Amino acid sequence: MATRAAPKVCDAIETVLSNATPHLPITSHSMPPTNLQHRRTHNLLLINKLLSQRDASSPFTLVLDSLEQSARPLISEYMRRAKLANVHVVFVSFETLRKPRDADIFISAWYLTLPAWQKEVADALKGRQGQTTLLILDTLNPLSATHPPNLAPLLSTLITPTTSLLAIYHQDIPLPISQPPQNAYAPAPLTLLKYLATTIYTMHSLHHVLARKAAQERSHVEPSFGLEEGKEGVLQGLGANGREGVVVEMEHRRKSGRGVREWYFLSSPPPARRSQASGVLGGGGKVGDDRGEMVFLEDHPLYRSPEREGVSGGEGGEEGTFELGPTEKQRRDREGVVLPYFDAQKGGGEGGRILYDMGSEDDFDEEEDEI
Amino acid sequence: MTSTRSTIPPLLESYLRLPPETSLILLTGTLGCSVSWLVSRFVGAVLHPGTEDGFGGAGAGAGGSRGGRYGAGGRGGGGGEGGGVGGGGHGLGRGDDEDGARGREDWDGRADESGRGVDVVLVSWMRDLAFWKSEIRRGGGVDITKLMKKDADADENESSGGRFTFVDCFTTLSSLPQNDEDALLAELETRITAAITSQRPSPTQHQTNTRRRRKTFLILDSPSLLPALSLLTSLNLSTLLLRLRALPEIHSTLLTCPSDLPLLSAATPHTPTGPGRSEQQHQSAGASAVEVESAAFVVQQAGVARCVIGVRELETGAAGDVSGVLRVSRGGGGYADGCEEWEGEGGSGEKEGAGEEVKEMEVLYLVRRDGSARVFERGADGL
Repeated sequence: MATRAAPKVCDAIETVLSNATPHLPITSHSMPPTNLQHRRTHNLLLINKLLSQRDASSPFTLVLDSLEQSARPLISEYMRRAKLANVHVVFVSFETLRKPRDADIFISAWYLTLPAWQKEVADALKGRQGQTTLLILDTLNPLSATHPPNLAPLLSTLITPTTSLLAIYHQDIPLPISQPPQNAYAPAPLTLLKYLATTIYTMHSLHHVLARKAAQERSHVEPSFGLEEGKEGVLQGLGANGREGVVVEMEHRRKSGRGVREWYFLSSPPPARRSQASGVLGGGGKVGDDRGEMVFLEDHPLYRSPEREGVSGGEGGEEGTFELGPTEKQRRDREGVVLPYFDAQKGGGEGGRILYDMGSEDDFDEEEDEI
Repeated sequence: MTSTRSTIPPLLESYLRLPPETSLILLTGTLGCSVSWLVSRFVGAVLHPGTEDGFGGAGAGAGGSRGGRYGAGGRGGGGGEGGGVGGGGHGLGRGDDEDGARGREDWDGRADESGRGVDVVLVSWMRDLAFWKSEIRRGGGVDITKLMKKDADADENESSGGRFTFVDCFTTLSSLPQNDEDALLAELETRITAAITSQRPSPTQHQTNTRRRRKTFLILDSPSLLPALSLLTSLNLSTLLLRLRALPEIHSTLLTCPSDLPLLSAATPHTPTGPGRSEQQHQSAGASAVEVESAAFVVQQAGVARCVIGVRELETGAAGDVSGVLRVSRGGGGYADGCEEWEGEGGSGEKEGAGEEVKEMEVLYLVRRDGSARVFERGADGL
C-alpha cells in the first residue's frame, strides 16, 4: 500500500500518516495540533460530501469487504443519504435477493445475461437525465471472474457526469483459474479496480480493530480472525459483522491525484427507527437523526479510552515518569511574551537598534555594551 | 413441547428456529465433524408441531391439544427405539386426520405470521434417504416416512400434502448430465423446483389455502460437491441457489458445506498492507481449480448468509466427552434483516423483528451414539 500511495501523498499530513503504523491510524497526540485540527475538519467534511453524493465528488467508489465485515452497513448508509438528498438509486444485484428499502430501481442481474442487464441499467438511467443517480453493484466478483478483460470498459460506460458508481468487491473470494491463461500481462481485476477507483473504502470489524490495537499496545503479535486464522473449519472469526457499527478505511483520490487517507467509524442507525418515524423526521426538515453517524475512529470511545487511562494513570509509554511538555501555565506565559521583533515593527523607524532590557542578573559592562 | 426440548439442546434453541423469510443459514462441517445432527434438528424444529405451539403461545383449544399429542409421539422418537417411534408416529398421523378443519386452518393461518408450519424440502448430494430417515428420527424426533407418505399415497381429500420431500441427488448423480453445465443446471433446477412446487397443496383441497400458501424451508445438503467434481463452476452454482431461493414458495434456506482447510485455503487471506500483491502471489501459489472453486462458493455463500453455524474438531485433539466445537457467527446477510432498509417492504420488518438478532457464540458439543446431543459452554462439565 505504501509504495502505491507514495506518489499521491504530497503534504506533511499524509507523510506523517503513511509513516505511522501501517495497519492502524495514528493516535491524536503524535501530531501537531494545527495540522490535526485541519485534517479533522477537512476529512469529516470530505466523508460527508462523499456519502451525500455532492458535487459528483467520486465517480467510482470501490468498497472492499470480507467475511469479517460486510459492506452492507456502508451501502445502506449511502442509500439512506441518497434518499434524503433526492438521489436516484439503481441497485444492480448479483447476490442480493430482496430489494433494499431505499433503492428506487432493483435489477436482478444474476438472472440476466450481461447485455440484458446492461440494457436494463441503461433504461433505468435514461429517464433521469437531470437527476443525480447512484448506481450500486452489490458485487463485482462475478464480473471479474467472467469478464476480466472487459471490466474497465464495462464499468466506465456506466459512469456519466450525473451517475456515480458504487461497487463492492469481496476480497476473500478467489478468482477462478481460467483454463487458457487470458493475458499474462493483464493486471488482476482487483488491481485494475483499485487503479480505476476514485474512492476506496475498506471495511473492518470494530471488534477486530480493537483487538489488533490492544495487541499492538502490548507489543503482542496481532491476532488474526476468520479465514486468516487458518484453522480447520473456521470461516468467520468471533466478532465479525458487529452490530454496533463498522470501521471504514477510506482512500480518496482527488482530481489532482492527491490522496487522502482516513479511518472512520460508522455507527449503525438507532434500532428503534421505524418508517413512520423517519417520515416524520424527513417531513419536519430535521433529517440529521435519520442517518448513521460517521466519526473518526480515533474518537470512538472504545478506541480512545486506553490512551486516556494511560495519561491519567501517569504510566503511558511515551510520557515516562516525568513531564516533558510545558504545563498550562508555562504555555500561557510563553504566549504572553512579546518578542522584540514585534516591537520593532510597531514603529521607531530607527533601524538597527538593539532592543534590550536589562535583567537583574545582567552585569552591565561599560566597554562592551556602550553603543 | 417437552419432546423438542429433549432433542434440541437448550443453548441451541434460539438458533434452531425458522429464520426470517428469504434468509439463508450456512452450516459448515469438517470431515471429522459432520453437521447432519444439526440439520436433523433443524428439520425437527421446523416440522415439529410442539415447537409451533410453544413459540406461538396460542391458547386455542385445538392448538393446545395437538401440541400434547405430538409431544407424546415425539418422545417415542427421542427414545431411539424403532418400535416406539413407529407407534408414536402412527398415533400422530391419525390424530392429524381426525383433527378438524379448524385446527389446520389455525395452523395455516399462523404459518406466515410466526414463520411456523412450513414444509421442508431436503435436497441431498451426499447422502441417501435412508440415512436422513434415521438421522431425522434420532435427532429431530420426527418420523419423516409418515410425512412423506401423505404425499405418496395422494390422500387427495384430506391431507395437507407431504410436509417433507426428499430430492435425491446422491444416488442419481451419475445420471445427471456430466459434461454440459447448462444442461446440468437446467436439470437440477427443474428437479428441485418440481419438488418445491408439488409440495404445495392445490387450492381446491382447502378453502383457506387460496388465502395463504404454505411456505417451504429448503435444505441443500452439500451442493458444493458439484464444483468439487468439476461439474459446475461456483458461479453457476451460486446463481442456481439464487434462482431457487427466489422462488415465491421458499420461506428460507439452509445450506450445508464442508469447511475443511484445503477447501478454504484458496480464499485469499488478504493482508491489509498489500492486498493486490498478496492476491497475485496467491494466484501463482498453485491452488488447484477445485480448491479455488470450493473456496469461492463457501465464502460467497457465507457472505450472503444470515448466520454461519460451523462445527469443527477440537484443536487439542479428539476427546471422549466432546465431539467438537460449534461456532455461530454473523454472516453478511444478517444486515438484511437487522436493518430495516434491506427489507423488501418496510412493513415486514416489524413482525420479523422478534428473534432477529443473531448472537454469536462458541460452545462445545457432544453427539452420543444414540443420536442425542449435548451442547455446553467451554469449561463447563462435559458430561
